[in-house]
Amino acid sequence: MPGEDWVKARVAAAKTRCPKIADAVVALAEEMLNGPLSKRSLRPVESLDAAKALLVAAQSGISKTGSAT
Amino acid sequence: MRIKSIHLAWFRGAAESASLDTDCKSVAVYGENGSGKSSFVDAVEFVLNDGRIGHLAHEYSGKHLEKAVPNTHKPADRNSELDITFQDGSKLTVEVGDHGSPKYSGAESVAMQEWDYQRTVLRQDEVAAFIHSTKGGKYSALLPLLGLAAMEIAAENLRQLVRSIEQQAQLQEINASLKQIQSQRASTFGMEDNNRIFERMTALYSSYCPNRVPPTNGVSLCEDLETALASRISEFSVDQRRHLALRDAAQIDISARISTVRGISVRLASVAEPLINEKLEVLLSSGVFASKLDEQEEIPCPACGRQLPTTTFQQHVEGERKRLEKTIAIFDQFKNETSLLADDINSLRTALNKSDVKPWRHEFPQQALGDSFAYLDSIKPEALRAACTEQDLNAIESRLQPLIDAANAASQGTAPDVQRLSADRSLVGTAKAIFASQGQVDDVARATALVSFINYVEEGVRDELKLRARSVIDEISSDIQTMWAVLHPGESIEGVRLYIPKGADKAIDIGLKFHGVAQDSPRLTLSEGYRNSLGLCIFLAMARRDAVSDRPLFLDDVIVSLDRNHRGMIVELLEKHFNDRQVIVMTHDRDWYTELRQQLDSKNWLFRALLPYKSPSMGIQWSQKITTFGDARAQLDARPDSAGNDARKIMDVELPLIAERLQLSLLYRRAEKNDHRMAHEFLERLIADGKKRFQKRFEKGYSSCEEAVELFKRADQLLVSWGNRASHGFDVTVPEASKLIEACEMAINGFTCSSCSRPVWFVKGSDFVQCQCSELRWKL
Repeated sequence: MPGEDWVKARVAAAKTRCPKIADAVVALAEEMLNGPLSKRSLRPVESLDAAKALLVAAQSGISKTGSAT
Repeated sequence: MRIKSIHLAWFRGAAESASLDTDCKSVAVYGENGSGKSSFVDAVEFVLNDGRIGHLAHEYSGKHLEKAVPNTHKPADRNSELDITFQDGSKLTVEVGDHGSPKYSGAESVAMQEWDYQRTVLRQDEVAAFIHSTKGGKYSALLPLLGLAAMEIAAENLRQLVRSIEQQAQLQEINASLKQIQSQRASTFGMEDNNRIFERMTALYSSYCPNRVPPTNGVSLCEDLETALASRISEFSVDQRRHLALRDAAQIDISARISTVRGISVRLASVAEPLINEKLEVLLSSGVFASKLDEQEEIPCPACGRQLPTTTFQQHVEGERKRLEKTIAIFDQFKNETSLLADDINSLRTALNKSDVKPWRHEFPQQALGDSFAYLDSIKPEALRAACTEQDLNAIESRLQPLIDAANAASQGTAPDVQRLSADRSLVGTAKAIFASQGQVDDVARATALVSFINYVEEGVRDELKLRARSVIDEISSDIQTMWAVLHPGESIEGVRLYIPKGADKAIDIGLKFHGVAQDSPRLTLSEGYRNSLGLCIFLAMARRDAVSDRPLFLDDVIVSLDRNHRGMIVELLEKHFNDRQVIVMTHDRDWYTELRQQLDSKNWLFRALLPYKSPSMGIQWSQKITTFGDARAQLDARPDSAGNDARKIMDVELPLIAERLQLSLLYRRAEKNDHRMAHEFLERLIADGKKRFQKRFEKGYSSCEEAVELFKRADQLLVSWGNRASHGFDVTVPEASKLIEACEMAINGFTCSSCSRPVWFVKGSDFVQCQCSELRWKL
């Protein structure tokens, strides 16, 4: 992926539009766009694993009332 | 990485051995149609496309082209194979297996796979392919430039991730369950909020669990209440318990449930039938769609088969997708309701199979409700969840509704305390489901927020992609315009550019100005020749912007539909913009080949000619006649005699071509001798005619171009005296051969204008030919 700054900027913009999202999720999303998995199409099992990781990260981010923690 | 040589053995037109040796330079290859030029290009495509050669793929060539790739006369004990040797000395060997599959060995360091075919090879029938491709096809072709393909992969990964999150979080299933609980809540508690429901449960708690402190957790509160209610029920008399069970059975509204399922069934039928018919049409029209997409402005939609303008195609597909999603939602609703029906049947069976109810069941005569009880005992509710037909619904309605009616009649005399307990138990059950679902509500909220976030990130990646695509296509457009200006100077087609159509996501198109009027597509106004010319410019512009800029380019007979003037400009294009690239040009046009030889710098270019193809057993044969002055000089030190001989051979080949262009008249000679004149004969004529006919423009007009005639004389003198010695005496020294080569080269260059670099026959007038700037002129 050429350059990382744009990834940070685009992920930060998404976070602004979705403020309830946990920082851990933001970090994972950035990693997905900059890490080795960004260079090829995800296999279904990899996609599911990533989804699990994001859901776990999301649990720490949103309280029962829907506000960010 | 430049290619040093391509060697073929029993591959396509090649027999035992055929090599295209480039010495890592650019090469122009001349050969008549069918001489085997394209076999070398096929070899490159075979490697780049992992055993596929596009123009050979058809129903008769075999699954792996095993009937098309090997030479038809390949001996049984020989393999079809090819070697490509690179600048660094590494060699890639590809053996074509018996079934056509390629087996690679060697040259692992050379990542030839990165030289994608579309931007490495341009064939005659592919020149206008980019122009004729769809907007999406153009977008895909440009994606690999500057890493855009990686960004597209990232965006697709994010899209797939959203689907995985929805699957992992069971969003669809949980939402269906929550909807059911919401429905129960509305009918039981109306608009009451969670706090009010909790207060009501606390009040019940004080009634059923006196002297105990109610739990603060809603689910625990309801569980304690359920325990207390079960305890009360256990204290009931047999009659009270039977009444309670029958009341439970009577409260099951199976008719309403069946009615709902039937309603959804009707909706399903109304959307499914036309949908299925349309999908059948899709199957029939998909082949037509594929073949017409590149040619027509209107295409049948692959989703529904209707004729659509290509411009609205994407929006239509999106609409079709939503329509299908709506149908799927109705299917989900149907499954949900049949599942609830199965739950109802289970509840009815539980209520009527209680031991307290058995005496009541035995009160009915066998012929009255016996069949209904038998049906209740035999029905498999779980099977209904998978499939529920109208027959099932009819059977349930006719057999089970009488049981509910009977239970209702029998429960009419239920004591008030039993009725109240039954009502309270129903309240507690619904309240417990509401409190327990709160966790699911949070899960759904989290997953939905996550999905929204990932969607926004994908949107961001796509925006970035669009931004970069714009930047890349602006750069490429600039190159296209530069190259177009070289090929078409002063013509009324300008402003050729790539652009992203408004509102399109993955699309690129070509715009231009035709006599000052903006056009959205070159297909609206450009002739085939101009389209091919534009296609060539686009290919070369894309090649220039490629990240892998040191790979060779193959141009295979790409000038066929261009007229002579525009062909001539291609030389300038190659010289100006591709001096630093290795370019392999194949042509069957002898005149153009001669122009290439005369105008391209022999320091960077080699020139090779193929003999006409005689038989598959003989294969591809190179002509030994055509060499360059550069080749001749390369042999000076080791073999000056050969060097001098090469110079003479060049003159023997070049001068007849020039004589033809200048319409020199030579005495007719009998039969084949007419075609086998030597350089001396032509030079004699050129010297004689040149004094009067070869002119140069000076301040006061045209006068004889004496310096050129002197060059012809000098070359002729040396050719006659030293050329013969080189051929027969073998005693030519290095300085002598060097002088001969120089004199011959200068004589040939004498026809080229020093101001415009064009040969004197570049422009043809009524009674003369002249160079582009008209400084040199030859009177016909």
